[in-house]
Amino acid sequence: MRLTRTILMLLALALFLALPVGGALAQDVMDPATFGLDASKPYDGTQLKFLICCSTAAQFASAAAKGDAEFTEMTGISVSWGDLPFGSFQEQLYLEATNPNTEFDIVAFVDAWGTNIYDFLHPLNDLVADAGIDWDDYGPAYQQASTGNSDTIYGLPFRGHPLLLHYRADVLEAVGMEPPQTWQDVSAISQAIVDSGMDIAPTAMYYGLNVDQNLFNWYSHLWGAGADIFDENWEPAFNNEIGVAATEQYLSYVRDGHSPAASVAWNEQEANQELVQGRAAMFVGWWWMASRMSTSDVAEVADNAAFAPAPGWEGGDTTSYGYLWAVGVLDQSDDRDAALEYLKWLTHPVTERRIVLDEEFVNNVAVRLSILADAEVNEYHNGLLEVASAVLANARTIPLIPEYTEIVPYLAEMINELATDAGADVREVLDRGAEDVRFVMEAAGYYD
Amino acid sequence: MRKKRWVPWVLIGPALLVIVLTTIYPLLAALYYSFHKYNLRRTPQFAIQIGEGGISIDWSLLSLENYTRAFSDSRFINSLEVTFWFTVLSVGLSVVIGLFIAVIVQKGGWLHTLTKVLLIFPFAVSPALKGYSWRFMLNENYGVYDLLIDSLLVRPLNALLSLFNALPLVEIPLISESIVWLGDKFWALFMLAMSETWGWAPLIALMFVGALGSIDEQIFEAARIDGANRVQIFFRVTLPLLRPVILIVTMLKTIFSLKMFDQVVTMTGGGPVRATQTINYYIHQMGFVRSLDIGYASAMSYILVIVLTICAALYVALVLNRD
Repeated sequence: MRLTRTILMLLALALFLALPVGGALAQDVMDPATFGLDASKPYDGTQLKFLICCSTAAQFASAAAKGDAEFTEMTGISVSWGDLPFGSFQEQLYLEATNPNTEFDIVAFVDAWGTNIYDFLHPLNDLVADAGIDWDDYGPAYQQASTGNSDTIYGLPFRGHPLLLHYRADVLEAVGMEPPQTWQDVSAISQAIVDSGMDIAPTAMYYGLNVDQNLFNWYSHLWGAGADIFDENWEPAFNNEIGVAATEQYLSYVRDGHSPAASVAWNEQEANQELVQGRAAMFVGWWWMASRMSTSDVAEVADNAAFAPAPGWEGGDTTSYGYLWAVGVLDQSDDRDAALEYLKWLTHPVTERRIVLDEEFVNNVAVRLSILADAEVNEYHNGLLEVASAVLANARTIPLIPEYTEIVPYLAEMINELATDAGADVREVLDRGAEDVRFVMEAAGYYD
Repeated sequence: MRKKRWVPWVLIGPALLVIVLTTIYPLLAALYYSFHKYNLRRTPQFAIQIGEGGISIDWSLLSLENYTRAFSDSRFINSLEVTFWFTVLSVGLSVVIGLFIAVIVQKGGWLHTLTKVLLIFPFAVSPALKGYSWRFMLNENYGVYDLLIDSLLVRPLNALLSLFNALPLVEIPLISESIVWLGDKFWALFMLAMSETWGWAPLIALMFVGALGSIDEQIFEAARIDGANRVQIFFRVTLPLLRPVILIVTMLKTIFSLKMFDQVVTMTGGGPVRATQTINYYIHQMGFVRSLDIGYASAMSYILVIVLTICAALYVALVLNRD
């Protein structure tokens, strides 16, 4: 009886102590001062429209839900998220950003697409300075993508993705290999899997034409080997000796039978499905795909889900593509100041941390270095963010010039041609691609 | 009684206004843009300027450059070729398969009636969804079409070929069971045409069912009395009588095939390489995705408009001639 009373008293004490702590936490996220918001609600009743794709994806849905519940409560500003499919988002972004009468105030944009709408975005340098936003909390690749390598901040990093190697630990263990650190290791492990006679494709690559996804891993090969898209004079440089060697390595997975023949037509999602459904042992793709593997319906996939940094080049670099979604405010918005308030809240580390710890919308996507290094966040995501942070330290972005969106499809077609035609000469096709690229650059006046 | 001449105008006014705003104005605007250097990235300079001094025209800003550029652009030429072959394949397959279905389901009976009702469903599926579905169904690992083609076509054919190869004659290579349908230039275009046929053939079949029903039964009876068999009746009686409908259907389908866009986006992405980049897809890429070059995209659109106008004129002439 005494014991029961003691336990009850201890529980009551614990509850008593927990209440103020919980209350303080709740108060923090509902306190405008936490986010540097104006507590006097000067924009009360303002309705903002946010142009974004895929708002039902967990990484976006969490922010949208919290905005509805908390940001609106603190400021009186309501934000309506657009929900366009990714495939048609780029077109809509350009049309809305260049439309003087657009109804949208805030836009999300992918690094390469941003270059075409910089002139229509409100510079955020003042916001960063006045709101005390720690710019150094973003990695170099994300800073580049948000500024177009200039001094003007066009968008704040919002969602970002490093490339990781997702693999089956049991398969690699069966062939006695460690996770690959280089692309050459990927080839060696793939050959070992083939030699072992296991009924599984060693790697799942994606060489198909689909929103230019077949370039993601090509960049890693190219940069890792020491080549680049352009030289310092904006001349195409991917077709030099190093570029040819890097491209040959990139194609070797399908040409050597290490990636299924069908991968010449696959997009990133289809290749990832091969891994998730247990038909492939390795896949290099965005980090957010890690949860797909660990939640796979195939027990042996879920039980052996593992990830590691994207491979680098043997004797070279481990540079890979850091892909960024930034969020900016349209210059023509009638409610620009209210929109800037929203950006403060949306990109604040407290908001970002809560999104990444959200149990309702499980997702691992964070962009701030402080969140990527956060112990609790890493514990929640099995150390995924720490690995991503290591990848991001060496990540870079693509050439941030408006003409690059015109060039990218040529490069994607070039890679697709090399993948679908096993007999195609790499040098010849790259040279042809370089001519196309040069034509675009020349027309834009880069060689005048 | 005095005629109120304004009444018809009032009655058709709203419809006319909608047509002017949604069709005539965009058509004229696109024509105007097609003579300009108009890129969404830059502030455009248009020839017609409205200022305080009234309207002025700067003729130096107008040029045919976008049109001449199109015919020296190898990718535009490629898109013309792709569109041509896609049209030939999709129109040919749709009409032939549609006619085949019509002949099968034209008879009475509840099963035939039910089939006719069900035939409308493939046409009702949105083209974009059609593209996604076909991409999924052609997947080499879990695609139902891939499985059906392998099971019902490739394996039986290979079994026959193996029997033939057992004879001491020439050896014919077996057909691969692992064709990457969307990774091969010919097959990707063929499957794109098939996805279009899947939607259109049933609708065309319904048109043919109607036409077949209007043919006097006595004509067939006379042919049978004259000793014609079923094949002879089909080729010598039915087909000639269906000729006007076949022409109209062919022309209508040609117009739609020339505008192919949605399935290219969702099914092939224009690939492999450029094998399925149709004109509409290329125009969209240049205007809204790659270059944001509205002037050039408008010029290419007008080239397509000219082709479509010729087809539409032929179609109208055929319909009027029939009536």
